[in-house]
Amino acid sequence: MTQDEFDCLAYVVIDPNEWEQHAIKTFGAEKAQAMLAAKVERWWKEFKIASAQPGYQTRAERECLPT
Amino acid sequence: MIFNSNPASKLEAFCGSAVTTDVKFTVFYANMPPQSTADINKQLGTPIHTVSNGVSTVQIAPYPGQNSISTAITAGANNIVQAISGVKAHNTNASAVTVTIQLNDGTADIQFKAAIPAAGTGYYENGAGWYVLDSSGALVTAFGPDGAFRNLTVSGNTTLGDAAADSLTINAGVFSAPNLPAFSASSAGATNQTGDNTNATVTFGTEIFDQGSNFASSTFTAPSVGKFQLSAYVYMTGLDGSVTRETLSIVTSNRTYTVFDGVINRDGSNNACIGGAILADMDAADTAIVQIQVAGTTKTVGYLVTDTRFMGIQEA
Repeated sequence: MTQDEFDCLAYVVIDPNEWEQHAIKTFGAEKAQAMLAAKVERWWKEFKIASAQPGYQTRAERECLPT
Repeated sequence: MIFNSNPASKLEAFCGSAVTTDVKFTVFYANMPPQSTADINKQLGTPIHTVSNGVSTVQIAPYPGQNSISTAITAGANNIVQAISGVKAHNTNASAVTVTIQLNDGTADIQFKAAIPAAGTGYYENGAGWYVLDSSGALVTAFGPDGAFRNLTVSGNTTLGDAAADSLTINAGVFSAPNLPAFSASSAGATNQTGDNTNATVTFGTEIFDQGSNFASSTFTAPSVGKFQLSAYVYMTGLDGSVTRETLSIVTSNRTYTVFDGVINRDGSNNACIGGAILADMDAADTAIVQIQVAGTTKTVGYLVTDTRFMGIQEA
């Protein structure tokens, strides 16, 4: 997972690494990579707008959860 | 055999005598009459329309009356085929035959294949679709824009409709989707999970059904992007009068849905059931779990086997 993918995923999911590991475990590395790419593509525009705002928080931060 | 025709006209070609080998009928077409031998050779070098019965025992004879294949084809500029019409195959044999219409643009083949029953007819009309009729003329199989789909089996990824304004009507009285993601799971129950504000993930160890095998370890994993109806009920136990807050959440990868937040009256056994349902947007590989959080007392709150369930189905 690239840093951009991680950052985008962190906007959406609570734990990007856990999401990726679960995807690999469930679907295998190749499918998981495609699913990650599709998810990042879906959320990228919204993430870029949100992350450009002052006080931007990841989902874990928004929900006051440990990262 | 080369046909020289106006693009708007219809060409019909018939085999002149019966043949008993694997018959392949090919039409070459250009958007203008051939002007020279070189032009003719160029056309012959790139067949753009092939009809083949693919069966060695079928006889092809002059149309009409016996087995035959006829075809017409029109094309626009640059030899791009814009419409094919009047392709017909008649089978007078005692058994069905398979007929394939093959379009070849030089890089890839597109095939329309159908089994024509004994004494049946198949035709590709006005670029609209491939129809198969039985000996009485009744429709056996069709695909095309007329809505007359019958006995249709499609394999692989399939799209019905190509625009948001399109509609799909299913008139059948029985509908089944045996591979659509759907699950229902129940819990074996647990004690001392929360009460002290611990956010506890509810465990569901028994699968009542798991269509698509997307539920495991108390977690539903979306196999593809879509909208999923998810619902959860938790029959709490070990409540007492000190409880100040009970929260039930369905936590998906994309969002946390709090479906209950408050304090519900407990029964004489210090039990109470809370639940809720959501319609969640999920991406492929996203997960959904159920969490319960009770505050105001000690860690004495758990959940019962009865009515502690987690269910879901893909809606769109």
